[in-house]
Amino acid sequence: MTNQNMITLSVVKWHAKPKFRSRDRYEWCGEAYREDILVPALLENEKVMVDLTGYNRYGRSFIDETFGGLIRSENFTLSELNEKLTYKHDLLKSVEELIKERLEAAENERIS
Amino acid sequence: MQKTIERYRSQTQVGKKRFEKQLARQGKVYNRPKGTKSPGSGRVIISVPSVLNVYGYDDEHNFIETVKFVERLKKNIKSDFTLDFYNTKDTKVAAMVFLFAAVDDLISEKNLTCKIRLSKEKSVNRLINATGIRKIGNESHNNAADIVNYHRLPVLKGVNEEYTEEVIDFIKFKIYKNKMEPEQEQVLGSAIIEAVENVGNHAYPDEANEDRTWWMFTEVIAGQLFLTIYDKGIGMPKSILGHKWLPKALKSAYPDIYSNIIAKQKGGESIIGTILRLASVSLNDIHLLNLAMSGDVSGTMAQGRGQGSKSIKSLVKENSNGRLWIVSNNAVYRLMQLKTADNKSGEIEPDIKKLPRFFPGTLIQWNIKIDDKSKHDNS
Repeated sequence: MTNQNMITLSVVKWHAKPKFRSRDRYEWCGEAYREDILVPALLENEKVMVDLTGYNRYGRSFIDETFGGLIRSENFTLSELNEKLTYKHDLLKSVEELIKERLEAAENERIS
Repeated sequence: MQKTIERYRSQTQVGKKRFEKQLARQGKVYNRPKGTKSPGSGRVIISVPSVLNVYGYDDEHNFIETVKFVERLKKNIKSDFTLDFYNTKDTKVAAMVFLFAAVDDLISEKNLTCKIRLSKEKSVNRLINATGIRKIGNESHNNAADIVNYHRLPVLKGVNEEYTEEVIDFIKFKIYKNKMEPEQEQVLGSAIIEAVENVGNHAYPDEANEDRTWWMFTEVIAGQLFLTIYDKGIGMPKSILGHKWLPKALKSAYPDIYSNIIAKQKGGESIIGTILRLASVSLNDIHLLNLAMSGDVSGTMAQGRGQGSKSIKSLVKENSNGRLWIVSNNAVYRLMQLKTADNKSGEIEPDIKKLPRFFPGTLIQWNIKIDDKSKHDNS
């Protein structure tokens, strides 16, 4: 859904059961979501909202690779992402907290 | 004459049965080693030890006996066999999964059949039946499409991501009666998915996905769901050598060892290269298993690994009766909540010991509480 320069991405519309970190293990993984969906959306839109609602089994590695990977592998900074990227899961606060944690861990690694 | 005999046999019940047995025996080998095969069946009889236990923490004797038994089984069996549990008095779940994997391999790789002689002990027989070891080789065993229709799950053999969603569905719909809170589903689901993902990472780093085999068993005991996963890969300790995050983890957990290794770094050699070169003399499996389980708890490892152990650890943290066992190569890792003087649960405390005998592959077991659904809320 696009609204001017804002886009909302639904992860479960991409795949109902995403999991794992890298493509060599599973097609619908964090690396694929980041490279194929999230990074293009961030480059083409002023703001991006990632909605993770609809799946309650997100592995830490999927979350880490999708979001932490933006800083580790795609050269975004945390401040850039704080401006452009929001995320939510309507039922799981823990997933939102995990995304925040992985972004901060990746940023700490970048600046250390 | 032969035709006459056959006609006679077919006309009497006794004769007919005898004739059918004769047909069934065709092709069987008769030069059986003395005392190792049951009369008439052509099967090798294998006596299972009186105790099966692979935790190796407080019971080193039975750990050694169990591992030796399974090693001999895998090495020596070349014809159809019967596992004789008659004198087996006690079997731990983890040990049964370990044995199951060996029997499964024998049956599939050597095209053998296995029969089971039950124990005198009901508890042993209950576990034998629960694991489904009597049905290995049957087409009905391990059919993903049927998993949600099972009354209880047998040991499942899978590769890579296979069956992970089905196992979680089974727990959600059958054990929790579809009353699992979303946060519970997230904690449990992520732990199972990460455990299976880790099998590929730590067990079979150089194998194709279809060769990344694991065996998983779920069992409910006294309000606790126990989940056991076994792989026959290289082992968790070996798997972390060469990882980018190893130097930082080593420096954080074992600064003296790190300093000694760095002091021997050759010109132009990377730190990882130095660690790999000196690993066999500087690091044992206790060090390596501890490092593997450290994950990024220290907050220093953002390089994208070590996440799975954290998901599993969180299960133990949430459960006052939670236990995490990892048995791999030459070390056993145990994580449990410490009890305070007034018997309340306190901090979780890992404990790692050297095993008295090499354990092939990695066995992980943990448990979660399933009878307190009100504990989690989403507010």
